[in-house]
Amino acid sequence: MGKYIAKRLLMMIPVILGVVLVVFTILRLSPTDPIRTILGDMASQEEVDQMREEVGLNDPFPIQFFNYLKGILTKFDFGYSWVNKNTVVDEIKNRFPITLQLAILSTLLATAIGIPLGIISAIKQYSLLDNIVSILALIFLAMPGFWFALMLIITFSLKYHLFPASGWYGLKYMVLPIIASGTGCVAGIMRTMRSNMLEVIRQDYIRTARAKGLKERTIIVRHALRNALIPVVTLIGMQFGRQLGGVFVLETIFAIPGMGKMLVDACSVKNIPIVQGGVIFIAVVFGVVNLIVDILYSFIDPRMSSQYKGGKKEKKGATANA
Amino acid sequence: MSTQLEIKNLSIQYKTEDTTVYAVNGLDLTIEQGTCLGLVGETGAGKTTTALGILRLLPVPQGQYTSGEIHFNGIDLMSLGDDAMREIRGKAISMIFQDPMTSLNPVLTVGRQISEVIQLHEQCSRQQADDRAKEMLELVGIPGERSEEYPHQFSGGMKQRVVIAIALSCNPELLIADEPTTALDVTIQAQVLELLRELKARFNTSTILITHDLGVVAQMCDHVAIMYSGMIMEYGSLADIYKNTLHPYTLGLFGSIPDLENDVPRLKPIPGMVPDPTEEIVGCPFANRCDRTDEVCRTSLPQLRNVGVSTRSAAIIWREKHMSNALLEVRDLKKYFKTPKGMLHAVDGVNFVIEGGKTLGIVGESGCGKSTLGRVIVQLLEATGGQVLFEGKDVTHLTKSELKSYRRNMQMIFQDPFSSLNPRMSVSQTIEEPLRNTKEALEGRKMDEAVRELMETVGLAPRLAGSYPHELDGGRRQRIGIARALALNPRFIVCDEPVSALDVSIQAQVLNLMMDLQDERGLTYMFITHDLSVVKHIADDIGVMYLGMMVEKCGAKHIFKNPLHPYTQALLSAIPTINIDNPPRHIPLKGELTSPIEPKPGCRFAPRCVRAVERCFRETPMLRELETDHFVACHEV
Repeated sequence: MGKYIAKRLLMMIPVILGVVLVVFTILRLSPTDPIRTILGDMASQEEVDQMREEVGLNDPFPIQFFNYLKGILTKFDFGYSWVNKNTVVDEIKNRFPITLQLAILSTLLATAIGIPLGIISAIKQYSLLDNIVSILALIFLAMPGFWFALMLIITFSLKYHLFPASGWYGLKYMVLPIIASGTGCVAGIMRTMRSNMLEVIRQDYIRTARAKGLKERTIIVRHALRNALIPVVTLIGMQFGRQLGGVFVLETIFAIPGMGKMLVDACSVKNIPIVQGGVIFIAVVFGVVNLIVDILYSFIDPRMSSQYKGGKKEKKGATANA
Repeated sequence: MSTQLEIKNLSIQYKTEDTTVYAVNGLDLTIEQGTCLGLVGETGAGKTTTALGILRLLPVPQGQYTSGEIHFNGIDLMSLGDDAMREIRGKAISMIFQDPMTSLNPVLTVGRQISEVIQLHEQCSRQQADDRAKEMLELVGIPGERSEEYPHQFSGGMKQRVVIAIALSCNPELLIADEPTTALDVTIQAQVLELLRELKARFNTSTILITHDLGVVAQMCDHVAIMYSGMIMEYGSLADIYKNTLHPYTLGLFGSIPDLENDVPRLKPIPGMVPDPTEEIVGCPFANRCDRTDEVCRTSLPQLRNVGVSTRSAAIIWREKHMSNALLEVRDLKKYFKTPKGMLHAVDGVNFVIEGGKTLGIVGESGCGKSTLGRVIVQLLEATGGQVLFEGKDVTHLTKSELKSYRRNMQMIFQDPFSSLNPRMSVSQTIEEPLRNTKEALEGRKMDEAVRELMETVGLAPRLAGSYPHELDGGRRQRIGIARALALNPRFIVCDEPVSALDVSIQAQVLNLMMDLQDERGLTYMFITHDLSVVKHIADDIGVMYLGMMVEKCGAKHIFKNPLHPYTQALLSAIPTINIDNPPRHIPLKGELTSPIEPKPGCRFAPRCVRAVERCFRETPMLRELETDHFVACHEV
């Protein structure tokens, strides 16, 4: 297992280098002058020239790239924000916990609702409950997230004044964003859970379990659930990973100072170091989350864990081809 | 002896929105305590439905009982509540399911899957249940310490042992075994049957053995019930049914079995197909396929009655032989696969020649490399070494365009007619696909006509053209596979276990179809199978493979009379025959195949061979011609 994790982490290195190269290049290809955008129209040409020199924008492209990489590798230095002179690392340190909170809470909410609903829906296929849940899921899947968020604000903060509309200062502020971000995921999780569960309960081993005389509840919990969970874990992992990169639209709507808001703001003022650092960070986080999901697999599905050990299983697979 | 289970007038239907499937129709059956009843019939005869019906495990809501009573030890199972029924399942009546590959839960350890039944029914602690589970594993011949392993770590035969252990863990009074050995090789089948026999004798369990294999029934059962269209056609003691067969259907079943002892050049299949189960039965369900049908049969349903004795007869059609020269020659063919533990020698230096219009049968256990060999020959896999000469031309290093024209001459029929057909393509789409891929692709009407012709050639009704694979039974699916292979009018066909998934009467039809096609079109076959009786019937020559090497090659008839290699002898002795008077002496094979990864020099069969001497572990034996056209690779013959 340890060997497998190390291998996967090593495999992430070329991916991240690729991301660095692409982001770096794209940002330098943009036609407008970032310094002019940042300093504003009132700044004199001298000030602009001075800052260009200071941040190294006058160097040839390969030199800039080399210096950037060198900074990262030797000093873990991703540059500093051109707007408030904070280092990129500090900036992410400030923003990421907020996004992390939002992602964890909304994923928990989505999982806690989506999985039980999916199971019930599958067990009572074509029942009234199943139909209602399925239709609701479709509605939530089809509904644009930003629109739903705006509706939440209009209803619960503007009309009934139950929750604040923007900011991030405590539990009360989290309610609406979490609901807005969670509902989209609930629908996906519930539909996947339902279809997997339906497939699993038709399997022969479920029939075997029934022939043992087990109670229906035991059959579902012990025999069906773990098998049906495998693809759902991937989905949850992917959604979680995506949210860790910051929910751009929601963070903007609710004015949450998370990763998404940071990147959107940085983009609009051409704050290049922040955009670079942010995107690279997201790539790393996404890779790590994927790895964690794969490791989780091996706990759910023993067939996977023997694959990681490399050996026994692969030999069998090869003989089956023969 | 008292009656353990009595089924009276049981009828079960599967109802969906637009169809009703009449699965079981007025079935009567009794099982005496401590005896074994063989329930025999083709796919779709309603055997499995009957078994599930006894346990009240029919799929909800489609499966419905429309009439009947099931009495178990005098208790009416139909009137029991759900809780009371659960008490019976797994404890008093337990079931072994057909496919061990899918009937175990992949995410639970085998120990847990056994212990949960014990824990449930015996009211003991988890620890006690786990200990008992280990004992059960030992009982079925698996080391107890493997109870912590998962199903994927076991071979097919071992998984079936686990399934048996689950079924027997609470000492059931009645055991229902649904095709327990169909998915297994003959040698493993022999081991599993032996185990079942032992356990039955030890616990005095009554058994219902569901199978389509009359050979297995002959080895195992006291009574036999022949089932057709959800009814019992004939019922009696083993000797009655086998020696004084009365019902034309039973006669047909016996006629469909490739016989090891007598040379019958042509199998006598039962003509036609099982009646459509979605139609209600009027008259005798077998009437349309029976050669003794008269008016009465078509109008009134025959009832089971006590009868006397009759004789059986069989027609023989001689098969004309084609004469020609070598079409395909394989020279020192090798295929290795890279695995983390080293090279896996799937095919390791195989040589043979097939003459045009002839059939070479390749026999061996699963994992011996026979499928790989077939795939390398049709260039689905690249050879690691050696040559494949088709009409004298080496085809192992062809360019893409050369390969395309070569493929027209060489087709493959695959093992599993279900998974080798695209579920989203209709019958006609599947058959016309190869036609579309050629230069002279046919247009519209002509294409339809070509497809219809092909369907007729393989005996598929044209109305099935728009059907999808899942709507058809195994026999029809395999006919699609054959039609697809024939579409480009090839000269050579590699048939990879084409009939092993089919039951005997369908199997006979498909085999005869293949032999007819061979006669008509002068086809050449390489016929890969693990079923020796089938290969004897269809093949002119037989090659026996063991772990990537050919250990014996000889004329088909001769090899059965005089097998020389110890492995061939063991294989032959493992086949259940329908001869109940002189059951063949069984030469047991110990264990399972050894690893084909980086094999050591020496005979690969040596670890399992009864005659192995020191030299066998040192030197790899070469194929030697011991008699005319009889080649054997063994030091000790």
